[in-house]
Formats: sequence, structure tokens, C-alpha cells
Amino acid sequence: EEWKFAHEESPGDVQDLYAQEFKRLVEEKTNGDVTVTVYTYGQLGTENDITELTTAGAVQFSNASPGHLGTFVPEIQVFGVPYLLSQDNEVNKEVLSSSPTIYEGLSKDFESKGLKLYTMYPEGEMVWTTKKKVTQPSEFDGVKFRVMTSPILIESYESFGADPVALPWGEVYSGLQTSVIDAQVNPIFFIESAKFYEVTDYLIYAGQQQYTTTVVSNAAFYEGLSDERKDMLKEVKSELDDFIYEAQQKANAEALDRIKKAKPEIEVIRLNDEQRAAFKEASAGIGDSLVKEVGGDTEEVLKALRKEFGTEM
Amino acid sequence: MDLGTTILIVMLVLLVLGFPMMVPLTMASVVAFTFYMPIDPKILIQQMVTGISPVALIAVPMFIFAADIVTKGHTANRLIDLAMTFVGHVRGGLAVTTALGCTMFGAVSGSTQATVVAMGGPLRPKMLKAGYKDSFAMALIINASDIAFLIPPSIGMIVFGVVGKVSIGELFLAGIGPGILILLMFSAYCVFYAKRNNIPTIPRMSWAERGKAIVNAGPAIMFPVLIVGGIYLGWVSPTEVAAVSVVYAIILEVMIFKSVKWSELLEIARSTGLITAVVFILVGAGTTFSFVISFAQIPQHVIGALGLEGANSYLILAAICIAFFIGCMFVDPIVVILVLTPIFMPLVRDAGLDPVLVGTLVTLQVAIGSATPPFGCDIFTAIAIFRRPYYEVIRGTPPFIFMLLLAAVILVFVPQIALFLPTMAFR
Amino acid sequence: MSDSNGEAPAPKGGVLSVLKRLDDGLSVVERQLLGWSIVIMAVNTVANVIMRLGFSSSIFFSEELNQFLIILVTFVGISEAARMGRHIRMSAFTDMLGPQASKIMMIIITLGTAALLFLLAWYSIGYVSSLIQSNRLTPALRIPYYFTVLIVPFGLTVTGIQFVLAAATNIFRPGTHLSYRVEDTFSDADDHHL
Ligand code: NA
Ligand code: NA
Repeated sequence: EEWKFAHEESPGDVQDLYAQEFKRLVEEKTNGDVTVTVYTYGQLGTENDITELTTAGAVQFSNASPGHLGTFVPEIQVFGVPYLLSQDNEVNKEVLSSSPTIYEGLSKDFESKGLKLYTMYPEGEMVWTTKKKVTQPSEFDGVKFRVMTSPILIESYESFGADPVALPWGEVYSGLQTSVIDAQVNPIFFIESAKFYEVTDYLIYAGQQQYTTTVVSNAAFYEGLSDERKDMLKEVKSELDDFIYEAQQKANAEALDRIKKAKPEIEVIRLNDEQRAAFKEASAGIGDSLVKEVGGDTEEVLKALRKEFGTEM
Repeated sequence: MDLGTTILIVMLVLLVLGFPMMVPLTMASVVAFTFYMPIDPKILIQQMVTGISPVALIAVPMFIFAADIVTKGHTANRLIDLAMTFVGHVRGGLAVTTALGCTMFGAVSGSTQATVVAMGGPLRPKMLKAGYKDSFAMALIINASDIAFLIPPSIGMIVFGVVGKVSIGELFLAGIGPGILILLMFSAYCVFYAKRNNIPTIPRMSWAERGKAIVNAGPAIMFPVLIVGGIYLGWVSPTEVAAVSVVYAIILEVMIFKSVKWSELLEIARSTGLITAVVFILVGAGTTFSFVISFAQIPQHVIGALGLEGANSYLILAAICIAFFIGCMFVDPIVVILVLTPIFMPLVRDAGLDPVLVGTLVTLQVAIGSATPPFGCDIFTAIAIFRRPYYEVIRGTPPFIFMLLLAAVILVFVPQIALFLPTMAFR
Repeated sequence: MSDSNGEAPAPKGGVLSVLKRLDDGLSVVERQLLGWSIVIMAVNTVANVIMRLGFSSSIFFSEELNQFLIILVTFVGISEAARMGRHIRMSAFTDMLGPQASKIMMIIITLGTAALLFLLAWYSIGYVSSLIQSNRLTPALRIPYYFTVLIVPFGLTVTGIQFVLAAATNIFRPGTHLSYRVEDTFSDADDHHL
């Protein structure tokens, strides 16, 4: 039996670490009855394509991240709301791996699209790389900030005081180089592999967001598995919760070291609580406008998650 | 029979039988979906739509539109006059003018065929009158037009950049060095040919005439400045520069040269739309095909079977050049890039090769392949506009193909020729 | 690259002439769509540049509009290209055939191509309906995603019909025809323009 697992990143990136470890564990626990084939980014099309492939049952597992997943399961966009997650990563790990709001509530929204939400994990803090030092919203004035074309992200960065700009992914590096844009945001391991630090001067940790990704499975496939296989997958999930948490921290820390080594003059800024509070306050209305835009049970989901993360307003 | 062999046979048979090129590609995918892969065939359509959706591909119709406008207008003739006043008097001057004109027009156009049409039309009669053999003239025009693929903008580089996730801005700059190298090689050959065949020269032009030619062609020479400068200065992304060049083409031909009327623009846009569809349906079909071979993990098998995993980087570059060259001998260059790039990119990354260098080499191979028998879109274009039989059109090509392959070898061993400019600008 | 080369006289007779007039109308609509889509693409992209450089903001639906237009151009354009006999094909083998054999080959090619296109059209209806069920919205404009691909089944079907007409023209009229309007004359080299 062959299971196909497609993810959205390059070999060696966080999602690939997860998929490879998933492969190893599943093959080990089934004594090789199941082999897992991992497809990396671009092999089967775009992020949207691999989610569609999963709903169609062509692949059994795939990564789907809020950025584009919002077009399939709109409620998932709550993870784009700034300062929803805790500043304490132990809390984040706990909630993302076992939250009832996610695995019972949100999970239903996935099922209605033919997807089984298998797991959710953070890939690291979303870090700003900028050409200008920014420690408070007013310093974002006139900064052309590249974001993905998602209304919630656009509104968020507008509320922070920046000028959000849409630019295709492939043009971000040269865009920064030539100042078509002044800033972009991504997890640090990604910034390192895409070499964005080469063309910016500041790495700013503002604590506004973790890059959270989900692993989804085809719902019918998952339901059709034997109880034994389902138990095996649950076991694999809980082992991977610990594995990926450490793996992503290690990957991001190592990436930051490599960046500092490659470009010693880069300035790494971690905003203090007071500075973060200013950005949090500026973006306080984003949750409400998302609720208004998406509707459904977004309001309850957002409220419940804030409670679980301990980030109520 | 295994999937790989089956779809290869289906593709080749339908191709040789003369089916429209979208048919062999999609038929191979249909066969794969029906008999080998238990997947809903709607995925086939999804991949087709995905293939034409990347935002950067918008540059292709925009550059075609700009090229269509200037092809209809006076740009080509003014560039030819300019080249003529400077190099016309040397031995083989008209032939060198042709090579130089094709290179300059290549900086306006992203397609080699547009260059064959725009430059070949006016230049071939002039060369015949000056005493050049027709086979030499046609071979020169076809092959010098290849330089258009290397000099930015380049449709091939856009597609490679999109599929291979490589910066299009860097690829554009990397094409300039090799483009000039080939221009120099061709020019040297033109001089040699003219000497051996005793082609008479024309008198040297005065500086006054040269000045006048510069003034006349001035706005047209601004094209490459606009394209390279706009990207380099950060005003526009490589995708946007294509649309900006449409505006520039309109300013040039409609407002300055007054050679195209406002009312003609919509008709030109219609023809651009038609050509775009003909190309993009192949992009869509090629993407579907490339999905099939990725899904079935054929690249891994092929690379394993060839023993390329972890191979020496020169060996990998050689394999890439040969694969693209052979592919382009038979199939449309855009399709070859779409299908072969995903196969080789993982190898390129593992070997630590510079993807920009690989992209330049691929573009060069694709350009060579477009002019190489048996099948080549430049050859077909030449047959169509010159109305000469196939054999005569290709008879003079061997020396040029030899020089182009030599340029590829030089590029492998002296990559700085390509990487010098992007390194200076972007790294 | 003139399309008038080798244009066959309009087919006469009741059904054919009605078909011809219907198709003429469709051709006009398709050509207008093609031209305006390309123009809007250029205006949209340039406007986005001007907004960014001049007003520090960007048009957020710019990318989405361009994607929609390129899908429209592709699937509208393939039928017009079929009508004009402009699809790229490798004709080296068929060029070597005698008139009778090349006519038969052309009938096989056009019918085979039409069959494949109808099959693809059928698949694309499946794709569109799965998108309708999924309720997906586009990220920027928040319009149903299936709107952007509605043209796909339409374009594939109309193109398939063009190839059926081409086959019929080859069967009922003398000579070899690339489409019901365009005869395969000197060579089909006109079809290799990019
Ligand atoms: Na060019
Ligand atoms: Na060729």
C-alpha cells in the first residue's frame, strides 16, 4: 500500500522534516506494509493544487497553510489575526496539538470540504525583514511591505502603519534588492533559504504571528482506515508533536546563526513587551473585521482560541 | 508496458503524424490518467489551468504585444539603418549588420520568430542583391534571431524562471553576455565568409549620416535601456516591465514614428491574444504532462538509471544541455522547458549549481534547437515568410549551429560571461 | 502573417450556411474578447505600477484580474486559432504524403483532435462542478473561484466543434483543409508563428 504525502516546502525545510519523519514512523509501525512517498514543493503544482489533490483522493496527506487554505476553509484565517497566539511557545505547542476548538470545532469545517484535519503545528515565528528600523507603528510610515494577497494580511499591515504591496513570490528577492518593496515577513528558516537577509538590514521579531501549518488527509480515505491504522496514525501524530516542535526550533535557531555568520552587520531586533503592545493595540480591530467578512462560526472560534492561548483582549 | 514507455510512444506517434502539438501532450496525460493513475481526470484540467495561472507569465502576452506593435512599425528599419551606417563598410558589412540588427531587435522582442519576421523581411533581399548566397542569408537570419532569446526580454527565460523558481530579473541580465559573445562569433564568421566569397563592400558612411541614424533610431534603442534599467532601478518587476514596454511601443510607433494608428492597436491586440492562446494551451498541456511524470516519479527513475545522482557538476550540465537540445529538435521550446525543467532542477540544487547559469544554458540550447533541423519553429517561420523549400532554408545552418554549440561549451567553462552582470547588479 | 491565404470559399447550402453565420458571429465575439483582454491586461498592470510608484499603494485585485484574463484569452483563443488553422503542429511527415493520403490523414487528425477536446471538455465540467461544490472564493476579490474557469468547458467544446467542421470540410470538399475556412496550401508554415 502506498500513501502519498505532498507538502509546500523544499527538501530540508520544516514541512519536509515533518513529512520525512512521518514516513519513517509509518513505515516502521506498519512493518513496511505501508510505504509513504513524499512530494516536495512544485512537483504536483501549487499549494492550492495539492489541497485539491487531497480532496480528490489523489494524495492521502498534504500540508495546507492558512495563507491559501483560507480559500477552502475560510474560518482557518483566524490564525492570521495578529497576536492571537501566546508569546509563550509552550502554550502554543499545547494548544495547537490538542485544542478542542481546533480538533473538534474547526475540524468540522474541514470535513465539510472532504478533508480530515490531521494535525496543526507551528513552523516558527513570522519575522519581518526590513530595510528600515521599525520598533513602533509610526516608523512603518511609507514602508512598502510585501504580503500575500489575503485581505486579512493586507488589513493587518495597514493597521500596523505599513503600505501593503502584493508581489508574486518569485519577485520578492529582487523586489527587496531594488526597493520595489522595503519589507517582507516569513519564518526565519525561510528567510535564510530564500536569502532575503542579503537584501535587507533588520530582522525584527514582533511576536505578531507564528507560521502555522496544518496536515490534512482525504476524509473518505481516513474514515475507511481500519481502527488499527487509525490508532497507529494517532500514535504517530503525538510522537510528531514533540518531534516537530523541537525540530522547528532547532531549524530556526540554526538558520539565524547562519544568517548572522553570513551577514554579521544585520541587526536582530526583538521588540519588548511595551513595543509589542503598541502593534497589538493598532491591530486590535482585525479580529472583528475578519468575523464580519467570513461569518459562520468564526466569532466563536476566535473567542475560544483566544481563551485557550490566554490572549483575550 | 510501464507508464513512462507508453506515454513516450503515444506522444511521439501523435507528434510525427502531425496532430496539433497540444494533442500528443494531453493524450499522453489522458492515457496515464485512464490506465495508470487512479485519479479523478478533473485533476488534468486543474493542472492545465494551474500551468497558465502564474502571475509572471503575464509577461509573455505583454512582450508579444509590444513586439507585434514594433514589428508592424518602423523600429526594425531604423535599427537596420543604424547598424548599417556603422558596420556597412567593413568586409561582410551587410551580414554583420544582419547579426547586429537581429541582436538589437532581440532587445525589443522576446521571441525569436518575431525577430525572423521583422529582420528577415527587409534584410534578406538586401543581402541577395549584395551577392550573398540565399542559403547563407537565410541561415544567418534564422540563427542570429536566436540571440533574441538570450537578450532580454526572453519568453524562454520567463517560462524557465516560473517553472524553476529562478529570478527572472537575474536571468535577463545573465543572457546579455552570452548574447554578445554569439554576436561576435557570428560577425567574425560573416567577415570570413565575405572575404572568401569576395562580397563587395559599400562605402563608409560619414559621421553626419551616422548621427542622423542615431537620432532616428534613438527612441528604439531606449527599449533595452528601459527594460534592463527599469528592473535594475527597482521601478518595476520583470513582469511589469513587459506591460510598460507595451506603453513604450505605443509611444514609439503610434506617437513618435506615427507608423501605427491608434485604431490599429485593437486589431494588433486581437492577433496577440490569438498567438498567446496558441502558446498558452501548450503551456497548460505541458504542465499536465509534467504533473503526470512527477506523480509517477519518473524523473527519479530516469536520473537514477542515468547515474546522474551526485554526479560531477560538468556531467550534469552536459546532460542538461543534451536533453534540452534534443528536446528542442522535435518539440516547441516552451513545452521542452516546461517538461524538462522540473526533472533537472532537484539535481541542479543538489549539485550546488547556479540556477541562473543553468537557466542561461537552457535558454541557449532552446534557442539553438529552434533553428536546428529536423523541426524548428524558426525554420518554419523562415519557410513561411521567405517562401523557400525546407532543404534550402536549412542548408546553410551547420556552421552557425557549430558556433552556437561552441558558445555553450565556452559558457560551461567560463560561466562569468553570464553571471558577471547579475552578480554585479543583484548579489 | 495573413490569414486570407488559402481561405476557402464559404460553404453553400442551408444548414452549412446557417452554421457559418452562427460561427461568424461567434468569431467576432471571440476576437473582441481576445483584443480587449490583452488591452485590459496591459492597462491593469501599468496602473498597478503607477499606483505603487506614485501613490505608495497597490491594486490588490491586479494579479487576480490578470490570471482571470489569461485563462479567458487561452480558452477563447484556442477556438479562434482552430478556426484559422493556427495551432502549432509538426507537418514534416504529412507534407511528404500525396494529395489523397494527406487528405485522409487530415480527416484523422481533425476528428481525433475533436474527440480529445470533447473528452477534455467533459473532464472540465467535472472540474467546474467540483469547484462550485467547494464554495471556494478567490483571495483578493472574494468572488467564487469557479467563475474564473467557467470559460474552460466552453472554449474546449467550441474548439472541438471547429475541428469537427474541419473534418467535414475535408470529407465533403476537394483539397486538404486545416479548418473549414483555411486550406492547407503552400505549406502550413504559417501556423508556426509565435
Ligand atoms: Na529578447
Ligand atoms: Na529544432
